[in-house]
Amino acid sequence: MIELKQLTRVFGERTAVDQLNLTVNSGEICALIGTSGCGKSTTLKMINRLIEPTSGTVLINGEDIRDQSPELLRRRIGYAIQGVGLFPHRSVYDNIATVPRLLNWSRQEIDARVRELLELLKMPFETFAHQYPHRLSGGEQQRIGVARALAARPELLLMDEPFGALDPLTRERLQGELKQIQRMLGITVILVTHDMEEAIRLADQVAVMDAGRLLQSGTPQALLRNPREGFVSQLVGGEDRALRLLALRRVDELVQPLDQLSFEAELPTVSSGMSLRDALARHLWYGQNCLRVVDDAGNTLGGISLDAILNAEDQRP
Amino acid sequence: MPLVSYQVPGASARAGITFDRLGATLSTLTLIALVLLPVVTLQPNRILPGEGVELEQLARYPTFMLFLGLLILTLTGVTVVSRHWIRLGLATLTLLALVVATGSIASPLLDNRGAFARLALGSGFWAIGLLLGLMMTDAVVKMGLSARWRLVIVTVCLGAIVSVLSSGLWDHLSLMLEYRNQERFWAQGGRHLLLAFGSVLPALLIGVPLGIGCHRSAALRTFMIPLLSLLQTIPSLAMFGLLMIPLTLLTQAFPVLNELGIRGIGAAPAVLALFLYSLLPIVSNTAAGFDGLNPAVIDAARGMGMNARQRLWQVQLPLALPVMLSGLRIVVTMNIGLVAVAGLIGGGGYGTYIFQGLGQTATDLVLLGTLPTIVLAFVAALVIDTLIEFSRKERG
Repeated sequence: MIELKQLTRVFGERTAVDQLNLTVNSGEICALIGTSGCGKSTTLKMINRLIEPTSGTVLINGEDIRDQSPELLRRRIGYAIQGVGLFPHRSVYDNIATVPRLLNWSRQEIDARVRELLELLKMPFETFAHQYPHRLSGGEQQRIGVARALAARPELLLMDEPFGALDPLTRERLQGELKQIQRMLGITVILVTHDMEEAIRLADQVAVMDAGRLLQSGTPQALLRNPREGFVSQLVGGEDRALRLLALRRVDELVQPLDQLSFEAELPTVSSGMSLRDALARHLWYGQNCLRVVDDAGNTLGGISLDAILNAEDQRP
Repeated sequence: MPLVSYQVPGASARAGITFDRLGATLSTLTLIALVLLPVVTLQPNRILPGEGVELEQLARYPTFMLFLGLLILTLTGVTVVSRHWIRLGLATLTLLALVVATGSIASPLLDNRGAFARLALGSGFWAIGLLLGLMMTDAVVKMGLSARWRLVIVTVCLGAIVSVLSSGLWDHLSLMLEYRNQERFWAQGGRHLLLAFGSVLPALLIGVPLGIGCHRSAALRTFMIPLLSLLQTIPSLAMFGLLMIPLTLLTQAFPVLNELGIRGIGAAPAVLALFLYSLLPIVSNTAAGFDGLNPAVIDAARGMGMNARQRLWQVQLPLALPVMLSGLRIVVTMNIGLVAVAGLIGGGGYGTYIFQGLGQTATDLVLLGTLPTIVLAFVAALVIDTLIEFSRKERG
């Protein structure tokens, strides 16, 4: 559990972060969201002491982060940033091995860990390990950035707009991979973003910041249903809120047996893992009231009707 | 997009035929030089000016005819052949033929002209040599060779020239006669390099930390860079003169310095002056190299838990190295040139020959000091280029 208590940082005249209190549960993803200059990056950097707070404390599993030197603390915390910051003069292998080497792991341990991480990110060792960063695409570089951050098996991963510079398709794919890896490893992630879609897609907890203050925090659903007046409700998007809520729910929540529906032989399909938002888009696209729901293997599970989506009660604010 | 060469309409690229405007220009200039300037001159003795030997007279010698034949082939080649390696080969071969030809015609031309007569290389020789060199450079540049291959080519060419010289072929030429008179030629070369690098090493030891300091502190930079620039504007002779006075006073006050070989004239003021000149390129390039580092990389290095020393040695220095090396390149080539000036205050090195030659109006002695200085500077620059290339390797 990560606890930020009365965290404050003043730069000269300006208060960048103002008495911020936030608790992030272990194994969850927390998104710090806000406009540029709202203090979200400063908050993140106070967690690994890249910036020292003016006042307030940060506790990681009850332990004050000031109890150890900044370097030792940072080696325990993964750190991935926008622009990646891979070392251009070091191969992918050496980049990933950075923190393990700082921690004096043995060669065998490092070698095994690099192989494991590249496999985890579906990047073949033979192809990538001895490449240099400039030969990689933006998405590949960001994957290596994440692998490097995860190298020393940190329990906490800090990410500062990690997907900001990527094209939309790559960004979405990497977001999916990140969520998968995070669930698999059970690590805690604190992610800074200004992209509401990203926050909703990834986070278990969304914390909205403005002018150094925490305005509201909660699950994406809670935030979408009951945003506080003003900045938060502006940020979660007036008209889009319904769609964003649908995006949080899956087709299999609303599957009905096919015989309850006005059945047509050749219904277009949706997969059960799709979001309701995508399913709605398919209904509109095919001009159908009902779609056939299939699982990954292609077996029909039932159907989903337009009415069911429209009546999904708790989507309304 | 080639700027100077283009395909003749209808000529196929496969045939390797083009019309190269640069090649044509160089060829025309070469022909003009051949006709108007004397390739060799006959001097009655060491000091008196020589008289150009007519082309007709030279054409009687088979080796010279061979050179002329190759020259015509090369001039045609650089004008119409598109394969750069052919052009490079032709120009190199012709240059070699020129060197051989001038050497082999010396003794027949000097026959019956008295013991003091000399055959000197004329302006035509230098002009044609330079133009052939330009043709070679053009070909090498267009081949897009990396620095290490350029270094190989230069080494091979120098090797060829040295073997011609040591074969005794040029022994009757005035330049080699001067060389024979100078027993300490190679020792002077060593001293030349010692003076040049002897000032670079302390400049690196002091300049690199200063450069890093300038990167970190704007106050240090605003004070340091103008000061070093000011030093740079002092003409070298004036600098030697200025340093003589304090050094002389110093050695008078502390005779022990004198025993260490530090005097008002000689190597000490030379090395000190070159050291001062070296500081600006090293400091400013180090600062520029560090300024140019990607902030995300430094942020990542800090965020992963590298301490200041680890960041410096593992990240900042290796990444700033190419820019720092190009500062070193400036310093080394500059110093090799300036050491020649130090010859005037008794610093030693090839400058000694230049000033002796100037004093005796013996042009070939001046050349004996100048040519090796140029070769040293050229090779040193190429070696550092190769180092820069290696340090840039794989980082795009």
